[in-house]
Amino acid sequence: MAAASGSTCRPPWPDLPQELLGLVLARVPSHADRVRLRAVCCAWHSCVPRQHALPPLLPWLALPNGTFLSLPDGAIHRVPVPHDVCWRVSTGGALFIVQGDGTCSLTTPSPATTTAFPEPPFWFRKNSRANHLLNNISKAVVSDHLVAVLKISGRNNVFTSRRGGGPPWKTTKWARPGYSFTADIALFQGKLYVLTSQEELHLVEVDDENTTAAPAGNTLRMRSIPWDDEERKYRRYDPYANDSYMQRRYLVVSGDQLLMVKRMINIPPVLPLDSGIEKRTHRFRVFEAADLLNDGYGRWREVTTLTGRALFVSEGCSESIPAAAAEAQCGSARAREDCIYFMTEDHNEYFRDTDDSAPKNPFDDSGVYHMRAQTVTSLPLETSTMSAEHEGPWSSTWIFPET
Amino acid sequence: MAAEDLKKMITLKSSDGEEFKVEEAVAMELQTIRHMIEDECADNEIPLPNVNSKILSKVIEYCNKHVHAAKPVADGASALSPAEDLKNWDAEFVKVDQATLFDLSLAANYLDIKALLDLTCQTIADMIKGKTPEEIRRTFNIKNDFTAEEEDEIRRENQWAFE
Repeated sequence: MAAASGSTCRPPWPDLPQELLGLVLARVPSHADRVRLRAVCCAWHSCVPRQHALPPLLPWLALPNGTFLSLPDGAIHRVPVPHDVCWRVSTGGALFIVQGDGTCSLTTPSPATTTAFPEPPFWFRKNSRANHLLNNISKAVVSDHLVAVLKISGRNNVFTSRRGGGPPWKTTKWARPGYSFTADIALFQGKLYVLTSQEELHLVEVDDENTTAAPAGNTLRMRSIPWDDEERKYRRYDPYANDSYMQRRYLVVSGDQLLMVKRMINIPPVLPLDSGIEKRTHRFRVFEAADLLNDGYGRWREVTTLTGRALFVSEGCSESIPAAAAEAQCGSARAREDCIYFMTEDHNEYFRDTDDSAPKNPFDDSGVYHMRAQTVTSLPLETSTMSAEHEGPWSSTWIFPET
Repeated sequence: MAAEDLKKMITLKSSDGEEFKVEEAVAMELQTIRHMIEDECADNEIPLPNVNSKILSKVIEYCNKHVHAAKPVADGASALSPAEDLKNWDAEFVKVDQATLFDLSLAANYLDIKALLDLTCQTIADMIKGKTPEEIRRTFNIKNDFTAEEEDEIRRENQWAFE
C-alpha cells in the first residue's frame, strides 16, 4: 500500500481502500449521492460497507402529487409505480399501493422492487361501497405475518389480515370499544397495538389459526397522564381565545420503546373569522408506554430525550431513526437527536370528513420540534420548494429509502 | 523559554529516507505510534515505510497546527475565534492536487489521525456530491469499467437517481 509519488501519475481512485470509501459514502449528503457513487466503477460498486453500517440519512417527504422530496437538498424524485393507483401509503421503508382493480403491492424505492400480495383482502375489493372506502385508508402496517390497516370512517376502524402461505387472507375487523376514536396503530415487537384518542392502548392479538373470529383486543389499563397547564387551557371552550389547541396523537416505535407522541396545534379563534391567526404546531410531548408486560396494567411515562434518536411523524407513517448529536459537524443531511420532524396534518382525530377536499400543502404547518429547547424551526430544506405546485390526491407522508 | 528547549523530540523517517524531527506532542497525534511512545518502546527514531517525505511533511504541518491551536493564543490579535481560524486554515490546507489529497487520506488512515481523516474524506465527499456518475468519473479520471448489462442493471435498480 505504498503511497504514490503523486506528481505525474493518475491517483488510483478506484483503489481507494474500503474503509475510506465507507467514510466518504457516509458523508455524501443525499440518497441520490449514495446511489450515484456506487455507479461510478466496479470497484466502488462492490467495495462498499453493508447498508446498516451507514448512518441513516433524512427520509424523503412523499408529496401529494406522488413525487418525493429529498431533504435537505430539495431534489424531486419519481419512483415508478403501477398505473391506476387508487391509494398510496408509506409503511416506512416501502409504499403500500392499491390499484383500481384491488391489487395490492409493496414497492421499495431503493432498490426498486415490487412485491405483489397474492390476493387482496376484502376491504380492497371493488364494489360500489368499497370504491368510496378505498380512498379513506389512512395507515397500513406490514410485517411478514400480517397487514393491519386503519380506515377513516366513523370513528376509524382497524382491519387486520394474515399474510403468508395458503388460502385467502383471513381478514377481520378489530372490535373497537364503542366510545373511542382510534388515533393510531403500530407494530411493536411483533405485536399490533392500537392507540385511542382517550390514550388507551390496546394490544390486538391476531390469531394464528385460520379463524374468522374477530381478533381479541386486550386493553392495557394505562394510568392516565395528568394534564399540564397548557393542555388544561385547551379544554375550556372560548370562541375568542387565540391560544386554543387541537391535539393529535401518534403511536411510534423508537428502538425498544413504544411512544405516544402528542402534538399540540394552535388553532385560530372561532371569532373573529378573519383573525389572521394560522394553524401552527406549537409543541410536542412524548410518552413511553412503560410496564407493558405488567399483567394488563401499564403506564405512560413522559420522556424528555429520545436517547440518540429522532422522530418523524405524519398521519400515515411515523418512524424513528438514529440521529446525530445536535452539535455534530458533518451531516446536515442527518437527523438531529431529540428532534421531532413533522408536516401539515390533513385530519384531526375527531373530524374526518370523507368528502374532504384535496390534501393540504405539507409545508403549511411543518418543521422540526426541538425537545430540549421546546422550540420549532423549519424543515431542513436548502431550496424553497414549499409551493402549491405539489398539489395532488395523496396525503403527505415520510418514506425512508435504504441506500 | 527554557521549558521549550527541553521538549522531547521524536524523529519520524519517511519511506524515502528523509528524517523529520517533531515535538513529542505532535507525534502523539499519530495514534498509530502514540502507544509506542507511551509504552516507551519506541526509539527516538520511528520508521514510516508507507508514507513518503512529501506527504509526511504535510501530515506534520497539519498536526503541528492542530496541537498548537489547542493552546490559548498569546497575542489574541485575530478577529476570529480560534475555532474559526482553524477551520479556515483546514480549508486552505486541503486545497491540493488530487494525488496529494488521495495520498493524504491514505496516510491519515494508516497513521490513524482522526481529524485529518475526517477532513480529507469530507473534502472527497464534497467533490462527489450533486454529481452524476459520469461527472464523478471525469472529476477523478476514473474509467467506466461496467459492462453494458451491469450498467443497465444499476440504472434500473434506482432509476430515480439517474433522471
